[in-house]
Amino acid sequence: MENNVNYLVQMENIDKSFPGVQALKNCSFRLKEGEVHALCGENGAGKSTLMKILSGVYQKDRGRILISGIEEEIDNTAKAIELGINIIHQELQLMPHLTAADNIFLGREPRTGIVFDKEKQKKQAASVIQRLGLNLDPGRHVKELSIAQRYMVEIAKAVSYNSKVLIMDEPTSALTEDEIEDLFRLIAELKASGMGIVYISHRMDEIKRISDKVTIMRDGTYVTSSNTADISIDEIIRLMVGRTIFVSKPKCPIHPSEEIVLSAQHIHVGHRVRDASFELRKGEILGFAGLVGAGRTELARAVFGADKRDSGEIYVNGKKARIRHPHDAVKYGIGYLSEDRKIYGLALGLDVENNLALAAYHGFAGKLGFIDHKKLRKSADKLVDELKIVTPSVKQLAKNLSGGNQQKIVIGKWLLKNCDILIFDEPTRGIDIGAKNEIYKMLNNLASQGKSIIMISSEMPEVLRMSHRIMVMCEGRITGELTAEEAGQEQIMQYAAMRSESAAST
Amino acid sequence: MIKAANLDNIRAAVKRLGIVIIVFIAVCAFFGVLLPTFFTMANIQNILLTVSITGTLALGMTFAVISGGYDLSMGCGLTLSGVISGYLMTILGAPDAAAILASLVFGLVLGFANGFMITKMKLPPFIATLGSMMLCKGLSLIISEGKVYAVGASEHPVYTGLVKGSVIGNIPNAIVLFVIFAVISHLILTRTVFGKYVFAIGSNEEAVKLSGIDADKYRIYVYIAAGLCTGIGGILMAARLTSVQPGLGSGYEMDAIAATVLGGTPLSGGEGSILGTVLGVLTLTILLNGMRLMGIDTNWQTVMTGAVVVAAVFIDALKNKR
Repeated sequence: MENNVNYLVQMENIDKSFPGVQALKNCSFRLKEGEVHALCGENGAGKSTLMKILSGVYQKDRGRILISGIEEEIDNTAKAIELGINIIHQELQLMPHLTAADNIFLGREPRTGIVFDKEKQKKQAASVIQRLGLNLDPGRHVKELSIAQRYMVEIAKAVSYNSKVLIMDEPTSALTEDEIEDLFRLIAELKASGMGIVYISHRMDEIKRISDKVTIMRDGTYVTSSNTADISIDEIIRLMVGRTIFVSKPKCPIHPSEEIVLSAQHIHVGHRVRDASFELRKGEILGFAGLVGAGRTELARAVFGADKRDSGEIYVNGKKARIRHPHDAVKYGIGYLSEDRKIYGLALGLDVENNLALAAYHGFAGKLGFIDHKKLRKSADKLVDELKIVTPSVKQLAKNLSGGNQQKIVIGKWLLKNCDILIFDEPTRGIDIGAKNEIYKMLNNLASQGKSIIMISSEMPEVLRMSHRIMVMCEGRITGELTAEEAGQEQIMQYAAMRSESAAST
Repeated sequence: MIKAANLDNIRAAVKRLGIVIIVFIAVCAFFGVLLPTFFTMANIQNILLTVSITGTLALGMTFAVISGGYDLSMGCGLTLSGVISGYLMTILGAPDAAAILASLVFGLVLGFANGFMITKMKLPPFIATLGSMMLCKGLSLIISEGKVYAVGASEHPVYTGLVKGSVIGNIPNAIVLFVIFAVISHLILTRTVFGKYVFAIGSNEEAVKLSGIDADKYRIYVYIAAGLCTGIGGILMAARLTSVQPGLGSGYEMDAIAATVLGGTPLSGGEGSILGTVLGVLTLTILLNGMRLMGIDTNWQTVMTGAVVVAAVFIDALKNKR
């Protein structure tokens, strides 16, 4: 016990099973005071399960947990909070209609007698926010805040509980580069105050930058722990997947033709897209880089007809296209894969077959609209094979599949519709590395078959690796265009940060 | 191979329908054993005639509920549909066929109006159909001035013949019509592109729109289907009672929702079946019929029905949790 006391958290030999799945086998994890500890692993490796056990969401089947050297049973989340353990989930758990202060003190509102004391709460919230050095009005409603500000509210909430341990699950997935910098600064401060931080992320560069230690998990088991300084990114990835994979970029083998299939001219959408013009060639992968909020998604949605454009014209195969709704765009052979497939891409309650067929039912129907189910089943089975969608059958509900497989279904939906122009918005968000590589391969295949692809991505290595040409956006404008040969992280960053003042001065 | 697949389908259907089959069999067995008059031809016919009216509403309601909405205007719409028929036939002396046509057209218009308000004016289904429900209720009383129209069988043979006449054997036409409607509804929902869209819209409308489908158009179709059922329901009701009573019909939309939900179509949308709804209507109607035969007070019948619906859906929810 003697040498254990300086550990804030010790989880030893943890087992956890769900009906039909052994989620964790003999897992261990140790966290020190003032340590940022990265937890790495592919999706399904058990990182979230392990942390949900620590934060009282799940209960372990076997093993023991020591908090500051004392064995504890964490039966529920209230017990975890009492022990000073807080988790910030990937999907933030805030009430959008309440103010920041209301959210921070939810469930323990300050009172005078039995009356809720709004002024007192405001003061207490302000003091927490000030302690963290945040620029945030506690009286603002959460729905008016940016994602980054919401994240800060979550942190403020955790800090107000006097947390000793803070678990962050994929905190940066929706943040811009600047916001990430702010978050890192905050993490450094929390760390200096002695808090232990568990940092779950897929982004290797971040892990390398801010963590002191790394623990790697694979298939529900503990693989190893190491000082971050002593381990390379390639090594972490190798341990995560249990095999060596290439991180460096294999160039797209086939060059696109000169034929322009899609041309967008002077697109305006409120303040979010300003005078954006671009051209897409046949067989090309056109990358769209930029910070989150640069207007890439808005531009794509405007081209697809999902949002109204204020002005601007779209030409498909040289002819002017009237696109006012998504169903117009689809008629021109344009397909759009949204960044948030659960909200915009899939009908989770329907099965694989019906999700694949969603855009293409009419192709399987006769005059009266009756569907040829045999033909549909055949096509669905074929797609499941081709795209290597892992599912027991096409009758499985979409919600029961993993993120990577769900994404493949959305891709399959547009393949079945036989669209020639595909807009991929963050195609690999929330997908593990193995599935990512499959998606990359799929994109390359599609391009070499003559499909034209627009790929929006916030992961710069991904854009660099995949694109023939790269458009960079900042504040709603297209600020730069780079060919694959000349593009590098620095140029992209330079264009991505080219705000209107600096653009005007150059 | 094919046989095995069919068996699987049957098994899946039983699993999906779940509790309603059990309640249906239990109710039949209970009253069958207790009441010697229950399984007589006359009583069964009586039950099925009632089913044909509430059931027609429930068929339309099933479309609306699977698409993630509902139609509260059905009950009062049914009344107005009858009042329109009655006014045309008894006050204006219009032929039966014209009255039938007018009620059907009214149903289509009501449905389109509901669909338009929900999709183009972006009103929640509750508000849109509550509004048209009140409108129907008011118009019924204004047009009829609160009076009952007599639609006699001898004066209006075509109109009343829709319910009382028999084309196939001794089976009243209303029952035959209902069976036809149910089969058509089932085929539309399970076999056609439109049916697929109804499920998909109820599951995730945003994804449907982004898949390049004009979801608004299909949602309007859903409410037109519901409206058509409302119009038909009004005709069947008036023909069965051989009179139009402007006070009757309000509240039928709730019976239709109860039957739909009891039949395994959740209000959250995205799933459900016509077969379930038909069983749901049968179960509720038999329950009321049996209690009436036992001489239980009408108000207690309502209490019991409510209890059965809540209990059944609760048990169903428990099963799904596991």
